[in-house]
Parts: sequence; structure tokens; C-alpha cells
Amino acid sequence: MAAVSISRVEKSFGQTSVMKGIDLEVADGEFVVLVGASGCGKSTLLRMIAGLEAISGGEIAIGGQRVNEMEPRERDVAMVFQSYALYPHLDVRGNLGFSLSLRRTAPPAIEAKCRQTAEVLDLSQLLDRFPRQLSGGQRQRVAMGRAIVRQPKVFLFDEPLSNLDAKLRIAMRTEIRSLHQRLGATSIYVTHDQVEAMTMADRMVVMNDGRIEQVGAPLEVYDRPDTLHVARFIGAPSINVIEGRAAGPAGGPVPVARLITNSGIELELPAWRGLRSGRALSAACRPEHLQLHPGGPLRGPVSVVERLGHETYVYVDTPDGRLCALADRNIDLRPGRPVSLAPVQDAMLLFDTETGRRLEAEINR
Amino acid sequence: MTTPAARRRGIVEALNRSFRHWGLLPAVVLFALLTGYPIVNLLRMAVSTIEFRDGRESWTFTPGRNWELLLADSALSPVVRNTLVFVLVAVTLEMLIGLALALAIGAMERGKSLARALMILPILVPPVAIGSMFKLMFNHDFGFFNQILGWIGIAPVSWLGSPSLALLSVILVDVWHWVPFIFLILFAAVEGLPREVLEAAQVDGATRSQQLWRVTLPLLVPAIVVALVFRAVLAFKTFDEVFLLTGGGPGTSSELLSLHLYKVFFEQNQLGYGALLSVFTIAGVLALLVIARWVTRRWATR
Repeated sequence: MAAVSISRVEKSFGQTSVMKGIDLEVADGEFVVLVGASGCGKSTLLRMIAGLEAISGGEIAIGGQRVNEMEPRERDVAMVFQSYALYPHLDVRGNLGFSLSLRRTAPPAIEAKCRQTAEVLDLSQLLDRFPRQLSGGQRQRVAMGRAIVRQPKVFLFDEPLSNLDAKLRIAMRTEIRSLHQRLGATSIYVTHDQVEAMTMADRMVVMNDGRIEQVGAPLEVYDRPDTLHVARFIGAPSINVIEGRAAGPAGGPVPVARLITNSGIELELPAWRGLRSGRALSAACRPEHLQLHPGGPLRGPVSVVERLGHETYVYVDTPDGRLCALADRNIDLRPGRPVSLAPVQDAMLLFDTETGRRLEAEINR
Repeated sequence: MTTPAARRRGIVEALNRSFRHWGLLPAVVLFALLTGYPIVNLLRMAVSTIEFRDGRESWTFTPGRNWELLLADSALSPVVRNTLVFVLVAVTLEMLIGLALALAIGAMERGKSLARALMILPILVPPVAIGSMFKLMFNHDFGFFNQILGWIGIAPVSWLGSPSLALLSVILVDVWHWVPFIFLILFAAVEGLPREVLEAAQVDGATRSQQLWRVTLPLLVPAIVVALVFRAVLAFKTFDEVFLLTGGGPGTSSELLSLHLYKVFFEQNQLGYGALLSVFTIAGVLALLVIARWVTRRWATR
């Protein structure tokens, strides 16, 4: 097991630069999730760590050793692919033991390790089957087993659950997490699914367009997203964003306390000092911080009611766009009925509309 | 009593019911005419003596005579040996070179399609042109090969005229002609290899040669078998190259089965015996196909 250190890493294909200076430290035994929309560079970064993609600039070190020039096989990392990438000509036993037999491990030792790994992943009954005879979930387990059996320094996961159906995905999510708690191996996990990222990560790394937007523990990122992009990407249903302008005495020291939305509605804000009146702002609040309230300033007809069982989401078409509020699970509402919404003031996040950055960083409360 | 109208309706219904069988009729007729009849005729010829007298052919049923001719044919055993040597050596070389080229060009980062286009050129050349071309290149006095030997100080060699080299020279031309065929089949297979599986092998710690022997080649086996069977069947029936280059000579040193058949049919006018030989050739090729199929099936269910 080892720490992974990524500093100023760049990647370009010809003239196009797809990775623009990535810095990331993954501690020994940590489970880090790289998350972002497709094309953000997360898979490329993972493949660079594995050695499957050349590094155009910067340095990657595993366990303190620079690996830029090393072949994949010299890096002692294991990777689980989205397509599982099992060896179709080998049975489960052969797949699990492949890496060991490449290292000329004695057959009895390989057999013992395979059995042990199969035990852990509940594959004991399947050792003689070929990949084409396995279900998607079973293949996924074999791919995991192939990684575990080697006891590598680092585990790399490239969207390993994307090809499973929803139910199995949730089960495997928990299983990978508990496996990590048992093995304590350094793991870097790539996904586009923010729920997967939230639930599995010790720390999550939100990437966008070849850059890291934010690194932090899941709740930290959820509660205090650095940018509007992160705020929108993390959380389902998505965060509500209301655009408008700061209102208050022009340029004075008096705290600005209002936001005039684009449709002209006045929202009260937490007190912000030194905010210039007229500045373009985006106020964001999560569905759980938007309440159905008879006197609320945001009004409109209900468009959709989503009942998830343990909670119910109400979508309301306001002049400032469709907003989503978390409501009591038994709420009796029908589409078309007019309602009012009020944001929880203290939970409101403010972003500069132009830069997309959260305001707290530049202004003292 | 059924009225004529009702009866007609019954016939139409019956025709409708059996329509899909009737629909096959043209295909069955074509098959019988184009494939069935010639084969039956060949079998009939194989047990007959056919002679031409007074401008007419006369068939006599003499099942034993063709067998006697077969046993008495002194050229047959060198011809069979030549054919086996030819098929074995030429196809083996073609497979090895074709596979190596497919792997090498498959690993190229750029210029793949140009390389592929260049590679398949020999298939496009008409066999007669190949024959003439190589006949000139094999020429004893001014041929390309002897010039090269001259440059490195070796006396000219009679490529097509010496019994020990003639078959080898034909094999050389065959390899040049048919490597692209193997290459094309295997290149398509190489391009279709699952990339992530090979990457998994790299991460799992496979060296380049381990990747080749333990992942790439096993994954290519189905394509290799297909190429091998196709090529072996075709090689069994090679005619043009021998006919054009050596005419089977000197003596029978480069005579292959097809050329021998040609001689039996058209030079010795032994139609019945020729038919018997043809039947044997077909049986040999069929046996090859059956074995290949058995091997592939065993591989698939392994």
C-alpha cells in the first residue's frame, strides 16, 4: 500500500490540452473518488496513474517513487475496468490467478490465493466458469477479485459499476466500500455518478474540463461547494439556482440584504458586507432548504410531484425557473395548484454569476 | 357435393399452405443442376471408361479399371508427396508471416491504412501476370534473384530447372502471392481485439511477450483457424503457379495434384481415371475441413 502524489500533471493530445495542471495527494489507505461529467478528464487521469496513458507534463509518484517513465506492469497497481476486461479465454480461476502466474508464483500458492479471493467475493462456485457464462454482476466480482488477489499498492477503478443495473449497482457500491474498510488499500475510483461519489468517498475530487474544481469530504463539498458548477453537479435532485442582482444602498458600508431576481422578486439574504449593489449574483439552495410556506416569496403552480417513499419532492414553476423543494412525504398536492416557496436564509449559497465562484471566499461575513 | 368454386377455393388454400415449400423450388432446381448434377456425373465418370470414337464419346462401366490405373500411376506418389510438402510448407510460412505482419501493422500508431493498402497489392495481380513476372525474376541468366546472388558472390542457381529447387521456388511465389490473404483476415481480427483486455494484461504485469503468448494469440485463435483452413483448402488446389512457372517439372519434381489432374484429363485423355482422382482430392479437402471444424468446436467449448 502506498500514497499517490500527483503534481502539476498535464496531458495534451497534439495541440489540444485536456489536463491543465492537476495537483492531488492521495494518502495511504484513502478512498478517493474522481467525479465529473464525461470528458472532464477523470478517466484519462486514472489511466495516467496506471501507465496506460503517457504523461505530457508534471509528475506522478506512487509510494514516493516517480513512475512517469515506468511501464504499467512495474507500477504495482491494479485496475478494474468499466467493461470488466476479463480474459475471455480463461475461466474464473485463470482470470483470478493470471497476474500471479505471470510472476511465476507456484501453482499451489496461486490456487490457494484464488480460493481465498473467491471466498471473499462469493465466487467459489464459479471458479470453473468462463466469463461468457457469467452474469454482469458476477463478471464485476471477478474483475474485483483479479485486482484484490495481487495485493497491489493502489487500486484503480474506472467506472466499474456503470454496466450494472440500478439495484446491483447499489449493492456493489456498499460491497466495494466494505471491502475497502477491510483491506484498507489506497483506492482511486472514477465515476460520473455523483451519488456513487458521495456514498463511497473518503474524499471526493470534482473535476471539470481538465481541472480540479474542488477536493473535500463528501458533505463538505455538498454543503460548501466552491463553484456553481460543483453545486450543480453534486446532489440529486439538483440544487436550485436563482439568478438576480444584489440590491441595497449604492456602494455604502451598509450590508446588502436583498437579491432582486431576474423576474423582479425580492429575496432576503443573509447579511453580506461590502457587496456592491447591482452585482450579478446567483443564489443557490438545496431542495431540503426550500420550504413550502404560505407567505413565501417564490410563487407558482406545482408542475410535478415525485414520491420516493421516504420523501417527496415538489417541482414548482416560478417566474425564475422550475424549483424543487423537499416536502413531507404525505403532502397532498396536485399538479397545477399554486403554492409559495421560501428559502432557508442561512443555508442559501451565493455565487458570483460571472466567475461562478462562491462569495464567502472573498467577503467576510 | 362440392361445387367447382368451392373445390377451386380448396386448391388455392392448399397452395397457400404449402407456398413456402414451393418457394424453395427454384433454389432446389438450381442446386440440383449446378452442384448435384456435376458431382453425380463425376462419380459416374469415376467408375467408367470414356473413349472418343468416330467423333462420339462412348461410356463403358468398368469400375475396376480406373483403380488399376490409379495403382499403376507411377507419378502419383511423388505428386501426392509434392502436394503435401507444398501445402505444409507454403501455408505454414504464409501463416507465420501473415500473422507477424498483422501484429506489426496493428501496433503501428499511424499509416495503418496505407500499410494495409500496400500489403494487399499482390492479391490484386492476376495469376498469369504473377507467373510471367516471377518466371523472369527466376531466369537463370538475367533474373533478379540470380543478380542478387551475383552481388554477394554466389554462382547463379537454376531456380526452376533443378529438381531440388523447383518446388521451393513455386512455394516462394505462392508465399508472396498469398501472405496478403492471411494478413487481411488476421489484421481484421487484430484490429477487433478488445483493447481493455490487453490493457488489463499490461496492468496485471504482463511483459510484451507474455501479452502476446498469453492473451493476444489465444484471442486470435478463431481467426487463425479460419485463415488456416481457407488457405489450406485453396493451397491443395493450386494450379496456376505451377503450370506457369515449371509445368510440374523437371520431371515430376514440382507437379502438384491439380496439375497432375490436368495432365490426366487433357493430355492423357483418361477421363474416368481423372474423375476418380478428382473424387479423391475432394475427399481429402473434405477431411481437412472436418478436422478443422472439430478443432474449432473443441476450442470453443473448452
